[in-house]
Parts: sequence; C-alpha cells; structure tokens
Amino acid sequence: MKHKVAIVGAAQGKFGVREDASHRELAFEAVAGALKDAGIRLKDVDSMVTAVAADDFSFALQPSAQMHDYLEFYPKANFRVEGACASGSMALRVGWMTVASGLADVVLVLGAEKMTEVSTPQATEIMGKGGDAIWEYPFGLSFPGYYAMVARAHMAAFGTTEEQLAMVAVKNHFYGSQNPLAHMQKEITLEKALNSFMVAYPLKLYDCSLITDGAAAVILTNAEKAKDFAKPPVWIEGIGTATDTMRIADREEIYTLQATVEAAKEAYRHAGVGPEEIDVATVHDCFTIAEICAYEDLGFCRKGEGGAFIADRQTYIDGKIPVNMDGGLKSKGHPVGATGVAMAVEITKQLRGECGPRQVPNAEVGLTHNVGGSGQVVGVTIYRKD
Amino acid sequence: MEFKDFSLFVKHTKIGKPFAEALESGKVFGTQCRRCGRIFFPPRPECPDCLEENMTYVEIPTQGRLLTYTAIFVPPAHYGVSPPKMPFARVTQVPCPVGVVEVEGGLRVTGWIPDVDLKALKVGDPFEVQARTLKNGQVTIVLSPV
Repeated sequence: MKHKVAIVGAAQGKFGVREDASHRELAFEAVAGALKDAGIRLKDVDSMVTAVAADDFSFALQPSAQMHDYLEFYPKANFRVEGACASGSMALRVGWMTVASGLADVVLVLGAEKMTEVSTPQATEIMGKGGDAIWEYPFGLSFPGYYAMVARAHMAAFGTTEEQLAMVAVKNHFYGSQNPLAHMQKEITLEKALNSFMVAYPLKLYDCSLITDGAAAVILTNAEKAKDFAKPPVWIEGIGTATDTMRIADREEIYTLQATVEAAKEAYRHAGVGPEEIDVATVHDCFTIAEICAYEDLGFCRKGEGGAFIADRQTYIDGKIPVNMDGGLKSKGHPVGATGVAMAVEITKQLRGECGPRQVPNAEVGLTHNVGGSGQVVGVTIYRKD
Repeated sequence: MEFKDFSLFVKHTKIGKPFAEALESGKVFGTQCRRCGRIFFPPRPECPDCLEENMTYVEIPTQGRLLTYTAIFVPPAHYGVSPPKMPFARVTQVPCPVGVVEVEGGLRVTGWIPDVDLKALKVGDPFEVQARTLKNGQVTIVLSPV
C-alpha cells in the first residue's frame, strides 16, 4: 500500500436507550467529538464512510445520506458499508483503504445505530434474520439462539460451564461500571448472572449483550499528515477480514468462529506481531460464549481453554491480556453498526493512555475483533502507539 | 400445495416446490450435481463448482447424531408471542428445542426437536431426520432421538 494509516481523532457518544436523540443526532455527537479530538473541522475532512447495519431499526432506506446531510458534509464522498454487527470494522477497512491508496488524505469513519425504536421482540426478529433467513430462522431461531448452539457445542466438546460463561459477564460489567459512556454502568454478581432468566438455552439474560442506541467516529490520515493533529497518532498496523458459512450448521467445528481465526491470521501477519504481543484487546462479546471463543480463535489461549482462561482472570486488567476494558458489548452496549468503530475508539484511547481507572498500564499494541452476524464476516485490526 | 409462513421459507426459491412436496410425502430432498456428483443440503438448483443448473433431487441420509441444540425462550416477534412486559418480564412459554443433526455422509440438517425434554438432550446422541406435515398443513423438518 502507498501510505501508512493513522487514527488521529476518536470519539464515542453516550451509549444507552437514547430516547432523547435521533439517529442523526447520535451520529453528530460522535463526529463532533472525533473532530474536536483531532483538532480539526469538518471542512478539513476529504471523504467519509458510514456504517449502519440494518434499515429495519432506523426506518430509513439510506441512513448514511441522513448523516452527511445533517453534518452538511455534501458534496464530498460518503456512502454506507454493511457487514451486520461488523459494519463498523468494515467501514474502518474501507476508510483505511481510502487513505492507504492515496485516494484521500483525511477520512471520517462513522458508525451509528438506533435500535430501541422497535420493541424487543421486533429487535429479536430483525437480528434473528441475521442468520440464514431460509434455512435457520424458520426454526424459530433468534440471534441468541445461534450463539446458544455454539455454546452447547463448546460445552459438550470442552466441558465449558455456565459459570464460566457468567464470569465473562461479571468481568465486563465490572469494567463497564468504570466507563461513563457505557449503556449499563453497574456491577453484577455471578449469582445474579446465573439466576437470570433463560433467553436461549443455555444462554441467560446476562449472557447477552444489550440492545443499544449509539454512535462512534474516528478520523484517519496518512503518515505525512499525521503530525498535524492535536494528539499523537495511533497507527493501524494490521487489518484482516474473513468470512464463513451463513448457516452455523455448515461449520466443521460449530464451537470455532473460523472467520475469526482467518481474519486474525491476516491481521497478525500484516502487523508482524503475534497474539502474545497484544497488550489490550476489545473482542466481540455479543454473548459470553462469543468472548470465550474469541480468546481461543484469536490465539490468546488454546482451543477449548477459554473457559479456564476467564476463570483464572487472565483477561482482567492485571491478567495475561486485558480484554474489553470498556465493558464490552455486554455492558458498554451493542449498537450494531457503531460497535466496530467504538472498539477502534477504545483502543485508540487505551494506546494514548486516556482511559482513567480502566487504563491498561504501558499499552503499546492493541487489537479489535468485530464479528458480523453469527460469524459470517469478521474484522480484526491491530494498532500501535506512536 | 400452499406454503405458510412459519414452516420453511422456501416459497420464493427455485427448489421450493419439489422440496416441499417431498417433505409432504415424507422425504427429505437434497440436490446432486449431475456433472460433478456433489450433494447439497440445503438443496440448491445450481452447482457453485460447475456453475451449472443441472441438478437432480436425491433423498439425503436420515440417520446421524446430534451436533448441537438450543431452545428459544425469548422468541422473535414473527413467532406470534405477545411482547413480554418490560423491563425483562419472564416469558412463561415452553419452547420447542431446535438443533443440528449431522447425517451419514456429513450433511448437516437443522430442525425442530418436538416431544423431547430439553434436559434429556445430549450432544452426540443418535438422531433421525424426518419430514413432518403439521396439523395446519405446513411442512417442516423434525429431528428425533433414535
């Protein structure tokens, strides 16, 4: 590639049930934050990419046009990128390509989703069709249902327990309680998680991430311009994307997200690092089992040992590799299109040392892992402090 | 025959009619490429290797083992259950388990697991894939312990 790419501005708006703000107003919060963080104005941005996962949530055919209209970004380029819950990472990839290729010098990557204007059963239906709409969803499957089948297979193969799943929730709520922008800022106990009601056996309420409204934005630029902004750059060192079968059933190992394995392989090779060099990571914990699979499939621990890895507290701030110090999708919330961008925001701030009580000391290399649907498309990105 | 919403959404597909008619007569069809011999389940009308639409319908093996399963206690709106009272009221229905069976030869079949207690299910159990016509005339696929 022609240019090395840096993140020079990053911001996340408040995640939550945002009845106070429209989809475009949420987007504005994040974009204004990222521009101020970079010390620039929108006129300094050459091109824009917008991630929104589902029209069904926003009742709009072209939500990205709402965004560039509301920002008064026209007539410069903006369009939407979609990769289900990995839309944000796919937009980041497109933004990275735009800068790396030399097509534009300064690119704004925005992710925004407003999910709570529909009821929970409606949201369950919209997300349920994130599986195979002909061959899976008609069996009454919900999004938690897909991951429940991953969980059941994982438990049968490796003896992973419901307690170990719940430990992921306890950790992420603990760190989420320290993140003022998180949807749910409250700690939970193991007992509370284990006694919560069943959503899709064996996944219970506290095994599931939140239905959330929110937005996040980052500003990308090339090496020549990277010193012209308010804060030191965070470099994108490696970017990997991979895909997998639509049906969970078609995967050789139902308990492995092969697209994670492949995307990570590409990102590690690209960055020239291995999993043991990652100081801080955000992984896609849409369900607790997904975080356990991520530990394994990203190479943080061996396959099958993810349950023991959380039980040993290896992903707490003082463990082998701190994971989801922002609270994760579980506690920070999961506005699907915004999630991948919000992960990049968190890692940027971790590598700058801006995270307060949940700051990982001396973090130099970070990783984000963002899964679309039930593993159909995955983005893994590796970042390095300047 | 008439398709209804909640069995299999195969109406607007090229393979829907023969597939559903086979289910009605108690058979589970896959497709086989006449050129390369590859067998597909779910059935599809074209071979992605040969790029040809030259398929024959074949009955797939029905004996296998249970690979994984779940049961959906908080269902999608589509499934006609009124919204639970928020915040987070307990849903009192008893859902039918759903799972995946790998049949001999390696094809994977997703289906309902009716009339079986969720607690009695175990990954690896011997299972059989069956075509089933429901009382309302809908056709679907069920998985039964052998």
